[in-house]
Amino acid sequence: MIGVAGSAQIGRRVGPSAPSDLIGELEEILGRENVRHDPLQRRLFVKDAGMRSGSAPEVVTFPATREEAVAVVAAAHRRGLPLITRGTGTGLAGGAVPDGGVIVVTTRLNRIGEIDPDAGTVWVEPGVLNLDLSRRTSRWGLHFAPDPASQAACTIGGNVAVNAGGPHGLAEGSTADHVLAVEMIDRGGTVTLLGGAAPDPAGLDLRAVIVGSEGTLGLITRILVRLTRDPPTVRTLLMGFAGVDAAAAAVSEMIASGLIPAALELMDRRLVEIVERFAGAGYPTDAGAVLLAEVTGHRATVEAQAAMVADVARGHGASPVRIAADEKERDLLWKGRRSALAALVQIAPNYYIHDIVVPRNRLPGVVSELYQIADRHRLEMVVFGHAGDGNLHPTFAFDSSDPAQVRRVEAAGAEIVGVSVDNSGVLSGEHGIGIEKRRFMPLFFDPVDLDAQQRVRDAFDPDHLFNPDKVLPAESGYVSPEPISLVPEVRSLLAPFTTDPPEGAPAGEFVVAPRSLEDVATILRAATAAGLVVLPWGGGSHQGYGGGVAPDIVVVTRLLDRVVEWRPEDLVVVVEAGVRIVDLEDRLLGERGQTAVLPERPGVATVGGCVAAGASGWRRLRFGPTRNRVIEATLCTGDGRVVRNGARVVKNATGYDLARLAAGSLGSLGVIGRVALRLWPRPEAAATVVVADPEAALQTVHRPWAVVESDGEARVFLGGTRAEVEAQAEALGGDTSEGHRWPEAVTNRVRFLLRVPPADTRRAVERVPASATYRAAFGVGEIAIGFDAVEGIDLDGLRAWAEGRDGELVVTAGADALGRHFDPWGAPPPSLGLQRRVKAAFDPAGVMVPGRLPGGL
Amino acid sequence: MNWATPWAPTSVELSRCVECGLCLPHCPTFRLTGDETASPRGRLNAMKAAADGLFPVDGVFAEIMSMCLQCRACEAACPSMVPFGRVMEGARAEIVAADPKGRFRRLVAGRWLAWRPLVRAGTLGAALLQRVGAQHWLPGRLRRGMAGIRRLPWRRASTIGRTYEPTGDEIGVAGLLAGCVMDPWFAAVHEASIDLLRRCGYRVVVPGNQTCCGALAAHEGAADDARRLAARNVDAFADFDVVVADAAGCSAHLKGYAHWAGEDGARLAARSRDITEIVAAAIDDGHLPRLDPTGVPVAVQDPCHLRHVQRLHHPPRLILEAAGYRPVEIDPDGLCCGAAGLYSLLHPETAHELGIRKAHQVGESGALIVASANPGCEMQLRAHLGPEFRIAHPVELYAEALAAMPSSPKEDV
Repeated sequence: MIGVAGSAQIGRRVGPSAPSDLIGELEEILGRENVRHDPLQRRLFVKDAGMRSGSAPEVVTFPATREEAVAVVAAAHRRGLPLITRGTGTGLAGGAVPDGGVIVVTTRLNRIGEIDPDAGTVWVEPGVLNLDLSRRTSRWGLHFAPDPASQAACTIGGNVAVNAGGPHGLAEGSTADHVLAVEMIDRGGTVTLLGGAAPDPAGLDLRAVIVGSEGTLGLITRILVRLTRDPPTVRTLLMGFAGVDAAAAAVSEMIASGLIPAALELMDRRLVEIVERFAGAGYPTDAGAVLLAEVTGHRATVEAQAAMVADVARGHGASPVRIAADEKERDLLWKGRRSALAALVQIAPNYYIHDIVVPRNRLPGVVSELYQIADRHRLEMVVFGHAGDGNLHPTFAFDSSDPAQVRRVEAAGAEIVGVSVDNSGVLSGEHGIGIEKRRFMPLFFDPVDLDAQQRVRDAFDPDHLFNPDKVLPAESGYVSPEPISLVPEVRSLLAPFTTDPPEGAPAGEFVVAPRSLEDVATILRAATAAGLVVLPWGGGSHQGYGGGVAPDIVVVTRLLDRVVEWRPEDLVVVVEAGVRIVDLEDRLLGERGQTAVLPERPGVATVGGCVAAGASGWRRLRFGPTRNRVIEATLCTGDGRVVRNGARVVKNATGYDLARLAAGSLGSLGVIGRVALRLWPRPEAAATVVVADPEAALQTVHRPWAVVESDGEARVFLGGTRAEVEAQAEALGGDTSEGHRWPEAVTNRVRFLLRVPPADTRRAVERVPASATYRAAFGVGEIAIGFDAVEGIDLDGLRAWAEGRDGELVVTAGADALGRHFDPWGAPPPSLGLQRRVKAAFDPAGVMVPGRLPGGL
Repeated sequence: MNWATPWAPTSVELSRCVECGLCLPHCPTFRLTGDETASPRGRLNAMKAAADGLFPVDGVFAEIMSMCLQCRACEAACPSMVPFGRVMEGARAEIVAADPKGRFRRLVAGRWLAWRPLVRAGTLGAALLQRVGAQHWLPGRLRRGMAGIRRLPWRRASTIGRTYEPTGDEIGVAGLLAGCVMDPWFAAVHEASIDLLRRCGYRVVVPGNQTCCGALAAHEGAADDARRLAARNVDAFADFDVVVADAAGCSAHLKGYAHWAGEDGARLAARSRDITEIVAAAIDDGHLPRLDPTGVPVAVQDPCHLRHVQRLHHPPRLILEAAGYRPVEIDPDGLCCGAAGLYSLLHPETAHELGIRKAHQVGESGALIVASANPGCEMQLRAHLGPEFRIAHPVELYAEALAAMPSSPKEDV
C-alpha cells in the first residue's frame, strides 16, 4: 500500500524516543544541539522525497566529524538499534525512511577537501551538496558530472548511495563512474578505505558495491570523486515533436547512428504545459512532446553534432528545432526540465514516479505501452526522462485522499515495472530501490541472484544494523541445491568436460572445457564439495597477476565462445567469457563500426580474462576503465551458483553492483561466464600525433582518446569528427598520421603495472629504470613496465615510492624471477578483512584461486 | 483541525508541498544548520502535524517556526508554488493566539512602529547615543542594530503630508509610502525616490493619514494589527495611480495586501510598485538617462523581499549601470543577510552568522560600495562591514550621480 505525501499520511503515531542513557551519550558526543529527540522534531524525519513514510526515528543525530560519526555508530551498535543515514532527504525511493532507530544526518559532514586541479580529484564529505561542489570547482574549469534534477539540493553521499545519474549521465555515466574511493564506517565502528586515487587498486573492488548500496553496508564518511573538465563548447537544442512516439523514435535513431549527445531529455505534452507555467522556459506548448538535447565538446564537433541532431529530429517531423542562443536561454531550458517533477502538483496533490530503464531501441514501443497502462487504469500520467539512456520517468499524478485512485496507481505501477522487465529493462536507473521498489525485486532477479546480494550484505553487516529492510526483500526465496557429497564421483562428474591443457597452463589434475554456464556451475559445485582448487583460464594473458596458484582443476573457457546478443542500434553486446578480444573487436568494427573499447593490443586475451583481470586499454582516458562498461555479468560462483547481476541497459540502480565487483576479481569469486558490454561508435576520423610533452598535450586538447608514452616517444590519440581531429592535431602541432597507431604491448619476461594518481604519471615515468620497456598512460596513471632481467633493479625502492603516493607496483608476469620475498601486490589493502568476508560470500570453500589476491586471499 | 485563528495555514496551502526538498539549499537557516527542523519542508510538515491535531501549538512548534527568517527564498525555488510566506505568517498568528507570552516583539511590530511620536522619540534617543558614543551601554543584540543605523540628524523635515510637483509633464500621481523607520532614519532614500519620481513625471504625494505597512506585524504573527494597518493604508492610498515604496520589505507587503484587506487590498496591491521597478522601467524607456560608465564596482545585495518575493532581480542592476557603476554579484543564491525584520533580536547568533557570511561575500567582491534596496538589510550590512564601506539604496546612488552631472540633468528628462 502506498503511503503518500501530504496530510493524509501524517496520522501515524510517533513512537517513543530513544532511552535517556542513549540520548545522554549522544549529547555528550555531539553536543545537545546536534541531537533531536522531541516528538515533533523526530516526526519531521519520517520520510524523504519519496512516497512512503515510516515511523519516527527514536533519535536524530548530526555528527560533524568522522570521529563523532564513529561514536554514533558504536553507540547504536551496542544497543542493537538500526542506523539510517540521511542527507537532505531528496531521495525518491524511500531509502532514508526510518522505522524507528537512529537517524544519522550527514549535512554537517560537509567539508570539501583541497581541490587538486591537476589530478582532477577531490575528497568530499557525504553532506556536501552536489551543486556546491561543482560551483567550488568551476574556477578550475572542472565539475562533478552526475547532475540529478535535484542537484541543488541533494548530497554527494546520497548520490553515491543510489548511484544517481542525471541528464548528463548519457555521455558521462552515473555516480559509480565518478567515485574513486570511499571511506566507510562498518558496523563495528571501524573506518575502512575502499578504493584509491590510483587506477584499479589491487584486490576486490568493494567501492563498486558501496556505490548504489543505499546505506545498507556502512556509513560513508568521505568520498574521493573524479571531476570532469568543463566542455569548451555547449549547444542546447529544443525540439518539438508531434508525439512522444515520434520523439522516442528520433532518440532511438540518434543513438543507433552513433550520435551520443551529452544529454537527451524527453518530456510529454502534459508535462510541458505544467513546467512552462512554472518556469516559462519557452517550451512549445502545442507540441506533443519535447526533446532537449545537449551536445558538448570541441567546437568543430559540437556544431556538426548539433546539426546532425537537428537533422534526425526534423526527419521525425520535429518543429520547432531551436538552439539556445545564450547561456541564459540554456539555463532556462534546463530549469524547466529540473522542475518537472515538483511542478506536477499543479495537476494533483500527489505523484508516484517510476524510474525504469529500457534498451533504447525499445523506447517507442515501451512508451506506447505506458500510456495504455495509464488509460486502462484511468490515471493521469506524464512521461519524461533521460531518453538517451532509455531511462524513463512515467509518473502518475493523483489524489491520495481517494483510496480507489491509490489502488489504481499501485496496480498500474506494478504493470509499468513489468513492462520494463519484459523489455530487458530494470526497476530503477538512478533513484534506487529503497522501500519503494523492494517488493518488485523478485520480478527482476531470480532467487539465486537476490541471495547472492544478500550474502554480500551479510558479509558487510550480518545483523543488518545499517538501513534494515531496504533494497533487498526479506527472503530471497533461494533454496540451495543438495550438496554433492560423494567425493569419489568428482572424477566422473568432470570427465565429460575433460580437454587438453592449453599452452602455458599449469598442469592440474583435471583440465576441463565446459560448454555452458551450467557446465561451469556443475564443475564448481564438484570442486567445492571435494575442496579442489580451481583456476579459470581464458587466453592465459593475465595469469601472471598475483600469487601463483597450484590448481587441481583448470577451467578453460575456450568453448564459451558465443556472441550471445548484439544490439548494434543500442550499442550493447553480450558475449561469453571465452570470446577472444580480437575476434570481438574485429566483428564489431567490421560489421557496424563499433568498439567495446577493450585493450588495443590484446594478443590472445579473452573478454572474460580481461574483465576478470580488470584490464583496460589506453582509451580508458576517454571512455573509462573496462569495469565501467561491464553492465551485466553472469558469474558462476565458487560454490556453483549461476548469479546474474546488472542488465543490458546503460544505466542501472537496481540492487548491488556485483558485475563491477566481479571485474578485477581475478577469478577469486568464481568464473565470469558471460558479460554485457557497452559499446561506442567508431569516430568519423582518428589520428595519432607524436608530441614532445604528453602532460602539456592533455591540457591542449579536449578529451583525447589516449595519451601514451612508449619508451620515450609520446603519442596523442584523437577521435571525433574530421574537423575536430584536424583542429586538435593542429593545436598539438606534432607529426600526425591517420588512424590510431597503438604501441606494441610490453612483452618482456617480467612485467609490472605501476599505478599512481594520474597527476603523478610523469614523476612515475622518471623512476622507471633505464633497462625497462614501458608504456605510460598519461592522464590515467598506469605504466606498464617490462624487464628481461631484474637483477640489480631496485624494485623495492620503486614500490615504496609508489605506495608513498597512494599508488602501487604490482607484478603481472614473471613473478618466479623475483624471488619469494617480493610480494606480487605489495602492501595489503586496508580492507582485507572485508575482502575476505566478501570472497567467502561467493566462494565459501575457498577453492577459487586461493592466494592470488593481495594479502594471500 | 487544531487551529484557533482565521489566519491559520489552510490544508489546500499545505498540501501543495510534495516534500521534494528543492527548497532546502535556498533556506539560510538550513544552510547554517543542515537540520530538517530548520528547513521550509520541515516547517511545513510541522504545520501539517499541528493542523491534523497530532501535535499542539506549543513551545517546540513555536521554536521551529521562530527560526524562520521569512526571507521566502524557498517560495521562489518551489516548483509546487507553496505560498510559504503566507502560511508562515498564519502559523505565527496561531502561535500568538496559543501563547500570549512574547508580547514585546509583537507590540513593537504591531503598535509601536506605527506610532510616530514614539518612533521620533526613539530616533532622538538613537541620535543622542550616536553622538555621545554610548552604544556599549546597550545589550548586545540592540548594540549591533545601533551600529547599522545611518548617522541621524538632530532635526529633519519629514516628507509626510507633503506633495511634490513633477519636473516635466505630469504622467500621473504617485503615493509614496513613508514607512515606519524609513522616514526618520533613511530620509535620503525618500528624497532620492521623490526626486526620481518627479523626473519620471509623477506628482508625488506622501499622504499624512498613512501608517506603517504592517509587514513586521504580519511576520510576527500580530495578524490583527497587520489587518488594521492595512485597512488604514487602503484608505490613505485609495486615489493614486501608483503606490510606491522604497523599502523592499514594504513594497513586497503592499503587493500582498489582498490577503490583509480583501478586494480593496487587492486593488491597492495591483497598483503597488517598488521604487526600483519604476526607475528601472523609466531608464529602459529612455525617460531617465544612462550615464557614462565609470567602472566603479558596486556590490549588489538583493533584499529577499525584492528578489524572492517580488522576483525583481534585474532592476537594481540596471539602475546601478545607468548610474555609471559596475554591478558586482556577490551571491548566486541571494541568501538572506540575516536582518529579517526583528529576527536579529530573537535569534542574534543566527542573524549574526548570516551577517558575517554576507559581509564576507561583499569583502570578496572587491567593491567598497554596496547597494541594497531595503533598510533592514542596509543596517545589517553596516553592522557587519567596516566603516570603509558605503551602503546605500540603488536609487540613492543613481539620484546622486544624476545630480553630479555637469549639465543640468533635469534637461535630459
